[in-house]
Amino acid sequence: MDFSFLGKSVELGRIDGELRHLWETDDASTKASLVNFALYNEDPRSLADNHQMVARLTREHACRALLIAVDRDQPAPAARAWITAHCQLANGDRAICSEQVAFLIGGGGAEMIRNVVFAHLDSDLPLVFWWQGDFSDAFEDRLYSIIDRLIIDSGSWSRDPAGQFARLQQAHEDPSSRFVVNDISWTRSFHMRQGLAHCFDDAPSLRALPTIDRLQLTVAPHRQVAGLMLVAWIAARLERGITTDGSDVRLTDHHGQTPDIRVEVVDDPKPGVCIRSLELSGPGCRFQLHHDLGDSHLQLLSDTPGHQMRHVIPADHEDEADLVSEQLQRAGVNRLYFEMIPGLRRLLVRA
Amino acid sequence: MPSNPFKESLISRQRPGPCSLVIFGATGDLTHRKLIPALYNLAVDGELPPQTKVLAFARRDKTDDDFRSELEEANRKHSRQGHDDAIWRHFAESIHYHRSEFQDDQGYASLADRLDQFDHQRGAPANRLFYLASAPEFFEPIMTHIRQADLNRPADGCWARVVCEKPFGTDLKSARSLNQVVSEAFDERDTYRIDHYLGKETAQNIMVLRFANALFEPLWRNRFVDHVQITCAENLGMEGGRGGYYDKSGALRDMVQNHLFQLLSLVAMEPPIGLSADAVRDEKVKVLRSLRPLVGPEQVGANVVRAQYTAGSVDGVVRPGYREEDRVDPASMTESYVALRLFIDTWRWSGVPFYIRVGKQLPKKATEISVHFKATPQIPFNTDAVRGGKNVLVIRIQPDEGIALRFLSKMPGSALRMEPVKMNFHYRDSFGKTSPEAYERLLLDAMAGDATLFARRDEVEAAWKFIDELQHAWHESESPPPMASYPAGSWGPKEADQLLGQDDRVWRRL
Repeated sequence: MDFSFLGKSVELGRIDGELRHLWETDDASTKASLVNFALYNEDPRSLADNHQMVARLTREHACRALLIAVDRDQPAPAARAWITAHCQLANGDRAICSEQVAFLIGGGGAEMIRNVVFAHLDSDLPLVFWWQGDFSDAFEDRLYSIIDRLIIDSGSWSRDPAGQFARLQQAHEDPSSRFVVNDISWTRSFHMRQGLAHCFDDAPSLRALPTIDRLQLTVAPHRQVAGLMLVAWIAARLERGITTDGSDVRLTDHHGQTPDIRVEVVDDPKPGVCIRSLELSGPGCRFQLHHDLGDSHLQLLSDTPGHQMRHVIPADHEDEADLVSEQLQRAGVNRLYFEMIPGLRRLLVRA
Repeated sequence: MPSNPFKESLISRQRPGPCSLVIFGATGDLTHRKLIPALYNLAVDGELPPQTKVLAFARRDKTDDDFRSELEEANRKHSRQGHDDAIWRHFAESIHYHRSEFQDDQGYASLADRLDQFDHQRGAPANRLFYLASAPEFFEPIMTHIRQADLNRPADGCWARVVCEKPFGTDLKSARSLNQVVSEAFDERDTYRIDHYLGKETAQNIMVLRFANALFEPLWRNRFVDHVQITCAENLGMEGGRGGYYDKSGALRDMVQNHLFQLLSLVAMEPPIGLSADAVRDEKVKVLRSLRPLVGPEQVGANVVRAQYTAGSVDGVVRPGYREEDRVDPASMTESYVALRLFIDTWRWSGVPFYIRVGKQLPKKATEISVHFKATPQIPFNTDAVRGGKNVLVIRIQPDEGIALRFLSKMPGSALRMEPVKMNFHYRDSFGKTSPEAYERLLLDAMAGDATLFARRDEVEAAWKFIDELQHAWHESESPPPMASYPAGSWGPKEADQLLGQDDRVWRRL
């Protein structure tokens, strides 16, 4: 494979010196870094996509980027490295640059991967670690104990998503860990959740909430996890239990005071938008959020007896780089995410 | 009403509920350049509460459509995030125009009807925010009529608030009178006196810098700080007819009483016991109350320099003198520049001078705070002997927001030579996204009921009390301190340099 697009090939032991040399020869640029941003993938071909990804993300997020690709097929331990910089013109006059170090690691196992990360962090800056794909044995305590923010995309997990969530939860609860989780699948529904909150901002809508008995979601076929997260979140917010019986899913009131909410998750016949629509309805009331392909806005409708409200808010991003950028922009500890996971695991086991 | 379960925990700050925003004096520049673009940008970010209505109350005859067209044109020019036709169309539907004189009873009765209509359309009463963007002389009749029309009384579970634009009074007497008028209609907790400097990202960052970092606060006191300088330089004069307003106000009342005293309070305050609005404002007002008064022409003359610019040039463009400016009295005694030496009589700041300067037609636009630390003892390094040898922490408020720290470093080589070097943090380099405009933050805070970044009644009155003494010495005493002069494009009068020179200090070079 040709990796020349990753910049200058350097020996692992000479990376720091080569980076210094890179800046010594360039008076016109400013090096900036707010975080260490590691992108980890167990497919060597990921280096090309991640290189492009970092080029985009550094427009708004100055960082030291570490691209780590693991080649599981390589028998003997070996590692190669490349350095380059991504520069953006600030205010039309000065170039602000972020360093990138790319690694291709073969046959070394978890320890080698971890040591490569340890050795090339920009000191004192937080570590944002984007683990791409399923968790492997490399995701172990001595690695995740140094991570400050863990980015994942649970929608991309190919093997046993419920088990992957259990692995994540276990690592998160490990006393040695301190990382905050940013799940791209969860971010895909951020504005949808915000929009749903908007729908119940007024008294007539809020009064109608206990009468809701149906929830319908239209989701792109490959984005089922994002849709199920939304269902689990609604259940958690309404303090409902989730009961499943074959394909029948209901959100039930433990106290039996409000009707069950029947859940229907429909595959979008015209995929392209992660979650095309969400509708909560009951006798005489309807709350709808709709996102059309190509539209950067979400259309909101609250329809209760004698009262109708329409509103538009920004729609969720579809593009992965935009979603990660949004996560990097928005700090926070994301407690709600872990509140939602038990319900989600129930739904995933059923699926 | 039960709370909205979906709202909880979604976001880290309080979200405002539906609201009707009534802007008095809505045909003015502020609405076009600042308020509407701020509301539009909140809508773009999804921060504007749904069902928000904007009702423009003004005297000129216009239809809703006329007014929306005007605002659209202004928004295209001034919006921070550009102009999106689809978002604008939806947002503009929420804007309405209400023609009335400010003293017309009928105008307020019909205003009440329109607000009721909005509530009816929403299906429930909503909150009400009254924004006084009119000339200050109309504040009183507007407040009186709002009260008489019962518009200040919110429906159950809702709130009614008022936002007052600057200037809040022209002296202590008028500020007290205005406060009295406002307090007859609104409780203090529902009164939001806006100072857009407090909405600036870097002004808010002063508290974070001081109280969220262990490094600075232990040094932030008279044992280590030699003096503090606050500079607000403008490279413009009286362009666009500003002379009419400015000549009645002057630098002291236009800038020092509000913006610069707010910055001074943030720099000098004690750590608040919490981040509630009152906890922060309690500490800020203590700073203003602790300012050593300057009473009488002698004390004022010794500690305050006032000046007017004479003809000169800025950025290679010839500029007239202040008294030759459009709408300025040729015999004007209004200052376009003021420099002050202030002392805060507290344990923390005893003996530390705070130098403040603000002026028009200076070489460049910049607002900065610099904290100048004392020199180290002479042993083993004689740092005083090194040019610029003292440590300086600079907080740049605008433009190029950021923080810089100057310290000494050994120059490479066999000899022990030291030179000052600078560590520099620029917001724009580190955070790629542009900061929200001050008005976006402040409008949202007013809707959400967070008054931390707004001036409280006692702050305003304490500031005016101090300023009144200076005004009195200048304009009502028998031997007023002289009016100095400086050529447009210079850094101010030589008397201001002497003010620091007497203390063996110099103004920081910007």
